Amino acid sequence: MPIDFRDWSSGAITTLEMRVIDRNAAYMGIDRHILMENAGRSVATTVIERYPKARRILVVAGLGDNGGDGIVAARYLHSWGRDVKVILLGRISDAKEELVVDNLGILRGLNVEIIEAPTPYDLLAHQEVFHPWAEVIIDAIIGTGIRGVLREPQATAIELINKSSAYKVAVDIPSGLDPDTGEVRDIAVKAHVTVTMHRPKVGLVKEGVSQYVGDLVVADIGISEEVEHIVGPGDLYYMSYARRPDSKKGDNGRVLFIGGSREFTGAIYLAAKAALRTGVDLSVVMAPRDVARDIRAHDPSIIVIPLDGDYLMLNHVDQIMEQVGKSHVIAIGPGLGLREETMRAVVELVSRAVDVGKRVVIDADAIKAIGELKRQDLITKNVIVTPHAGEFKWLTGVDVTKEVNTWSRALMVRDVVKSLLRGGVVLLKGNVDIITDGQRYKLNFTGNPGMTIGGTGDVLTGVVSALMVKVQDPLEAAAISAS
Amino acid sequence: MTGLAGDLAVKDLGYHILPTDVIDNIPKVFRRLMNIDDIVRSSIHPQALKLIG
Repeated sequence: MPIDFRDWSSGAITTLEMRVIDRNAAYMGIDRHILMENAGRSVATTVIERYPKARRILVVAGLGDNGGDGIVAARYLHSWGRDVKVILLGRISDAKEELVVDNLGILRGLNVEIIEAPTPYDLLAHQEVFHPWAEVIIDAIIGTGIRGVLREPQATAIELINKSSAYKVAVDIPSGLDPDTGEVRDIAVKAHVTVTMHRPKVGLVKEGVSQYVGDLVVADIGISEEVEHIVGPGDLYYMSYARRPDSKKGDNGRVLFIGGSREFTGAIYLAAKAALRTGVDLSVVMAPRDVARDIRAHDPSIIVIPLDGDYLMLNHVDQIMEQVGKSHVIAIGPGLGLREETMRAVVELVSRAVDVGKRVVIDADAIKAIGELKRQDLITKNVIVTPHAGEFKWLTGVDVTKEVNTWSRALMVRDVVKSLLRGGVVLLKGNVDIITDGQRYKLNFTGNPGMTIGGTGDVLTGVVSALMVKVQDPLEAAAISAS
Repeated sequence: MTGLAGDLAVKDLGYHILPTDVIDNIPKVFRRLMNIDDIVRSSIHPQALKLIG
């Protein structure tokens, strides 16, 4: 059932977020057919509830998904005894979207008149349908897919809708209104009611748009709350994969990895290698001399800068900071060990990197160093920490394994992160990964018991570091990395 | 990316994977989830495309 508008200003989402939710819903098995069916039925229900005496209803439908919602609404209103006509802004044969084709096919088998209007002249030839025939007009022309200036016959259709004295009900967005900014570049439908799907779009709750939106009804179309909290293929929409044709070495990411010790030589190599495979241009490793020598001998694709001695020490910090300045992202931790001076060097490096505005990924022994020296204040908004449950306890003092229910554990982790950290992101590795910044949280269900082998955590560190270059939102960078 | 790369590695090798197997599967995850062929082809010169197909 539709939910009436209250104050949605804090719960509004962008069209990008809605695309992510749509795709992840399909990934969870909530098929797009189901969503379109529920959307169309919600629109029809709203029409009946708001205008129970109206008998003649016109649906003006585009050829995209928004039009599909309108066509489903037309079917329900016809079933409920209303006299329904559909004006399709194009030829039936022009429809390419599978769901639109399917629903048009159903409607053509019913006693509903479908008027094809590929040009403004076709619309003008039927303008009596807009006025005086229609008592209610459903605007299903353009939804969240609006791009640039309106084309024909859409612009003429909007003009005819606005001239009509019928009640107007917009599907998802009044056509012509930018769903992200609330701007109207040319002309937009002035609706009495807008039925928006799942959540209000940001442009619908901006100041000054009420003359277009009218009353806002938020329709529950069957997307469960959990869908917003799982990591799925939709999250990839947040990632920038394409490269500029004129890009040069380093433009697509230079990541600095700091780690390794006399005991642990492989961890920092795995992280650096994973970052290259994820698509950065340059992986630079700064490691104790023996580790550096081994990596050099093993893999010429990684730039290696040796540090004197067997461990990271405070006197390395200035040398490392020179490289920090040249890098997009700094990753620190794998294989460092837990010597007292190494831990103090970690804190000094993270502190200075954060101060100069760098994005930082903290893993393994570096997490323990932050926890041991009680510098959780360093975990600010451009920092991602990637602990397993044991490291999380070291960092926060909280044993999350006591909570066995995955969803309850996610809320527990979120609350701990909110209270102890300063806006940074925690990616808690486990059977189900939990990613949170203390406000939002996501769960990742990929991975398998084969990945308990040593080194996969270091691979994750490399992937996270690379995606911190390619994804603006650190929470999403961590979520996609885990997936 | 990491979890799916690990899932692909295990699908091929069972529980006998190395971390490097996970790394090697990262490009395959990108290929499965994104429209990479179109993006990459658009960045290759048309004359070169004639040669490499």
